[in-house]
Amino acid sequence: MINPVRKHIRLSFITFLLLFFAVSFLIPQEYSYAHKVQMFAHVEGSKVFVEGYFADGKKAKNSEVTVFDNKSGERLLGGKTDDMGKFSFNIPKKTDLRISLNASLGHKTEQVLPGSELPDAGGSKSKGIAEVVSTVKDKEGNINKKEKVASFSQIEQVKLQVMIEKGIEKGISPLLRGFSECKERVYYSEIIGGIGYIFGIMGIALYFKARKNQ
Amino acid sequence: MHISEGILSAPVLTAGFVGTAALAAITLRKMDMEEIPKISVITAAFFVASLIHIPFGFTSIHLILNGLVGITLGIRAFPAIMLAIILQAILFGHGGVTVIGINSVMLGGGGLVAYFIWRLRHRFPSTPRRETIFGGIAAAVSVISSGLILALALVTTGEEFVATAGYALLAHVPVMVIEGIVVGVCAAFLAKVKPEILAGQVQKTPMGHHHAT
Repeated sequence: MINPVRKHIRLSFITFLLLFFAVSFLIPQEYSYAHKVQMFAHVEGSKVFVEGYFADGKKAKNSEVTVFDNKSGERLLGGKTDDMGKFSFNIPKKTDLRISLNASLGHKTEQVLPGSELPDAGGSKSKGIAEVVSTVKDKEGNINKKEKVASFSQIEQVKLQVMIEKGIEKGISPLLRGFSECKERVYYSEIIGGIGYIFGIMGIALYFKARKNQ
Repeated sequence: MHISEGILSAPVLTAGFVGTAALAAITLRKMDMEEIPKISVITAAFFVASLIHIPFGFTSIHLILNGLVGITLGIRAFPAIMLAIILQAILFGHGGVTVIGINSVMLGGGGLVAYFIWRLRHRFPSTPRRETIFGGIAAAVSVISSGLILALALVTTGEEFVATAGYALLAHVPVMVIEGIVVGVCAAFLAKVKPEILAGQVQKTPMGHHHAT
């Protein structure tokens, strides 16, 4: 009983190795799967920029983009990506936006932009500064010199904050993009890992079968 | 070839899991110890095959090879494909966890169809081309069966997917041709070099007896 099994295991293993090496030559440089569509959405000023692409880096052209209010489920707007796989829209309202990108044949991806990350609807963050400036000016008559200085430094602070936020947004957006691309890529180690799982399961199955046969 | 998450309706997904459980229960019955290593090897090959992309025209395709699994493993093709799909879903997010059921029925079902066609070859005279032709036909029909199950899943989800289902079927045509050729060549090669790998292949044992596995 044992010998034919052993022989079979050995033969199968050799076949597997041959198959595996044959197949390895076919694996392209990037172990990606082209079909999976991904989306990168980020806020810049009062606009949301959406970029759709497949895992192998190809742009998702002419893909349907639909934006929903994630709280009510209501459809807010829709459109199609251009030849570069890009689509942008003005923020319709300050709420959790659920952006869905549908790249034909049922390859779909979704992302939620939380309302807290969005600037106020219809305006940029600089509107906030204008409000601060006007309130300070309204009170100007009543405040003494010392307070005035404090108020102005407050304005500077808000301005600075906005500038920093913008700078960070710009600076990290390629990083974020790279990160989400990286996250989705199929790695060689995972492929090996998967094969390991399969043979591990084989081992467990053989073990239990062998115990039953005893 | 995998259905992604968030497209199909809950009843279709549930039906997928129920179908997978039923098919797995049937196809796992009375498994011999000797079969297990072979099943594992083919499962590993199938698992890797769907991760390899070959540029094709404007897009890239990957081989499915569920037909090859069918003609090598027989009814054990189903659990093999199911296991590979579970691993692909967990490790690579290929499809997703909620669609494991429907994807298994779709690809595993295709594998079973391939085996039923492959079995018919015994009714024809043994010529050198027989294995190539039947391997090719089995693989081609297997791809189309999977395409039909996919189309059915889309259509039962909602009327808005009828057009998508049509496109999906159309997209399977080139895959069908390529798979047919690849698996036909593989079948002929295996029949010559290692006939015991093929399901139900009549083989010569060292003692000189003929027996079918």
